[in-house]
Amino acid sequence: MSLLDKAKQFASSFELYELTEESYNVSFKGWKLNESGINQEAGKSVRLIVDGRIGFAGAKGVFDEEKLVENARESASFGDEVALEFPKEAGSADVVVWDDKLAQLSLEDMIRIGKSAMERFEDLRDSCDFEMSVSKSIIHERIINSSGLDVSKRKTVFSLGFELMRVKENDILSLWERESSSMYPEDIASLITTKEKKIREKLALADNLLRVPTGNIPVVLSPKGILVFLVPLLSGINGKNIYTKTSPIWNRRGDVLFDSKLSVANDGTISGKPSSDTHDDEGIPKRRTSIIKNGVLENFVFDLLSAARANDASTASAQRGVFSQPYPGTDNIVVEPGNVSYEDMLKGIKEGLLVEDVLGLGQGNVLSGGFSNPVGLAFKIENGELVGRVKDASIAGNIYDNFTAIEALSSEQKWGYPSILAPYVRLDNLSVVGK
Amino acid sequence: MKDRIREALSKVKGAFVEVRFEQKESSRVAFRGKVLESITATIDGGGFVRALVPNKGWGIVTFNNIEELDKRIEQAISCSRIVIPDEPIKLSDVEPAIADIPAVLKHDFRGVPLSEKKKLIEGYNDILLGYDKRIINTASFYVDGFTKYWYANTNGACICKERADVVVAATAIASDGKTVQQAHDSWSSRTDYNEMLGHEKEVEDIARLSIGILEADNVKGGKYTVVLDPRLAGVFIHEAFGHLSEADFVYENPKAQEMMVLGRRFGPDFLNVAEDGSIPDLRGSIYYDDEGTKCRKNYLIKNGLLVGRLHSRETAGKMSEFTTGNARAQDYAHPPIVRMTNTFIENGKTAVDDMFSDIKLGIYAVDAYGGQTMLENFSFSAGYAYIIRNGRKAEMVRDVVLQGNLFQTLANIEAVGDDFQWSKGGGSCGKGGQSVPVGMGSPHIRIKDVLIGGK
Repeated sequence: MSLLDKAKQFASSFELYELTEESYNVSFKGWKLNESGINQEAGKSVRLIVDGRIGFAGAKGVFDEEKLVENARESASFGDEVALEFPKEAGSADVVVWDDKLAQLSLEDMIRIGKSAMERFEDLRDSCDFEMSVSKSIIHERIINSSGLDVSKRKTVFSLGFELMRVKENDILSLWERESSSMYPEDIASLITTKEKKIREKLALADNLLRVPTGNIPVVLSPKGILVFLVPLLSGINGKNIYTKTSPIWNRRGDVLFDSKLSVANDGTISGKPSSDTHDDEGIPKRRTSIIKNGVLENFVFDLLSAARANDASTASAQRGVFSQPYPGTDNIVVEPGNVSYEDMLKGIKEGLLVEDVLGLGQGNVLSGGFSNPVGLAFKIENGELVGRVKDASIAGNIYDNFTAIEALSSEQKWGYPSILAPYVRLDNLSVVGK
Repeated sequence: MKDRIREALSKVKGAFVEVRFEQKESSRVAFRGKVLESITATIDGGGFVRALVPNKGWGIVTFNNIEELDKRIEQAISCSRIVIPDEPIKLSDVEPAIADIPAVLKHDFRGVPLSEKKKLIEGYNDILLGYDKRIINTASFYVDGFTKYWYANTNGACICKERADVVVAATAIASDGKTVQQAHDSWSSRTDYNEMLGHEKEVEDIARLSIGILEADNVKGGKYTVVLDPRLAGVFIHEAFGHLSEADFVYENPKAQEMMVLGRRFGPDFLNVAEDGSIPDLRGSIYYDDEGTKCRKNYLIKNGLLVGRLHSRETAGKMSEFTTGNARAQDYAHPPIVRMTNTFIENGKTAVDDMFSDIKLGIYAVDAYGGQTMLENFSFSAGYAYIIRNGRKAEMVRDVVLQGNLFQTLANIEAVGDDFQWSKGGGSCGKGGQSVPVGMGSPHIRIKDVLIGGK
């Protein structure tokens, strides 16, 4: 008997999920090619609704399918009552996340790409350590449910990341760049050139270690540094924290929460991005959803279950693994640009701090919107220019207080992380502790 | 299974090959507030093959189906062949171990019905929810897992292990409408389901604490003399120092080796830090690591001087040092990397009361939410904290984030207490995308000039 038939036997309402994934990786350590490998993973999970109660079980490896369904049924016998209806099929988002060329990329090709990137940095061999990885993944998923939905989706993902680490006496500097895409990059050489340029700029600045004063000096968050804002925000809009009413903004939809210059959207339909897809992991077509529009909170992110519990509708935001029930998560986060060029933004600053990343993000009390973190990588701005690196400083604030008055957003937007597109953001009200 | 793996390995010629296979069954019950978030059983199984052809690099293959073992070994060997390193990988010699380590359970959770596990955690969760109206949410979970594990390599090592884990954790999230604060505690055992029972009073303490933190004032940022309780001190030594002693950080990097040169002074004479994955039944005890190396006690800091570091066979081979049994993988889907097991500060001689007595204004920081190291700089959050005023523990303060630089902070340790204890909780450590259970322990310690972040 097939898994589907068994599920039908126990429940009129059910959902099956299947995942197979194959990843190919090569990695370089200490300026040397170190390993190549293939990871293969396959698993299935079952969700059942029995007498209005929800149950779940998942399995990988060689397993007894009957036991899997039995586990789900046992889980349902204790499960919470929830008015969840599995969706009918409703088309597909218009997005490309599969590339035949990438699917065929060989380990040898990946070794060549890695070597060509490593060679760029030869001159730094004596002063820095170098690590790098190149990988591709091929992912197939299938979702079937009792409402007649049968969605199969597939995705290719290419990733390239490298890190240069420099140790000088007691100072350790780590600089890294990453790229991740669903398509094989058209021009890989120029992609690597761009990354190389960024690293070299930072490396040059890092030679000059400077201090900043304690107080409210202007702080510029880079498209990477914007995580300081996004980590608390994304936790605040997550459907799980909405239905439990633990988010401080669970009842603030329609309210002005931030500066009117700020708009943020969640977009699962940007072609070529690894966080995009035709459907979410419950089979609903992905979409673009406005989260913050001109400072006003417009939407949260829900999967089916969190939506059902919050009396709301799914925003096509379900994510899952084989061993977990779906949970709400975001796709690509797009922070809209402003109207000041990055150069002009810096020009207006006599003494300030550019923050690329901080330590300990997400630990402590994220939900409250508060943050207090030492800087990881940060640079000093003096008279409109970046003049050196700042090591011993920390920033503190609360996104629900400090982001009501944003000084400026840059007109340039950059992919700070593979799923975050953002401008530079200047704030003049953060508390900076220097040394 | 053992024979199946050995038979496959016996056919291998001209390469070093190691195979791991794991079968795991686990169950989990989780509440979030009143909502039963998950109640589920999972079945997991899969294998890991790593091959090293002479003068080539590693070839690694992971898979789910044991029937494919022969094919996967061939695949790993082909992967190894295409990796042509500038310098051959040299593994340190390890006596091939033969061992069989079954889990010996006092009360086996596998015999406990899911309904009873649910009742247990629901009971704790209800205590949190019923304590105070201001407790607006909870996160309470029960999780157990039983893993059968096989490791064998072409040098002749063959190890069978069983690992049992059971963890109960509870978090109370309190809000006064303006701010949200939380308090947390957890219990873990490798041997006994019954150790998860009877924590009602301590769970009530979590609820009380969350309200206490809510009512506390923010700490004022600045430099303080800080006393860390054993739990936080354990996290501190793990985060701030332990990660730098992992040899994969230094083995390819001459400058880092200079920084971490053995014999260098790191702390005062009375500071001793060690690592030991062989102590029975602790959270980070693995007895043999995932390259088949037997675990033992390794001193990292002795009398304030750096005396050791943590190795895999590859890092030890490269640095011509002895391997220490610290190559660990999260599971069959991951390669082993250099990791900690149980890391601890050994007992000192200072009575805890004496640590406080001459502090005019300081911080007593208790428990930890978590921490992050970026090489020599670290940040970690205390679960909660008190002001120390004129030698006495005074009012509670909140949002205490300790920040610092490893070298300065270790040198600033002023006293190590005489009240050593292991953390009882279900701690795990993440590195390189892999999470493994770790143990931590310490007595109270006192550090001067610690930077506390805050408004």
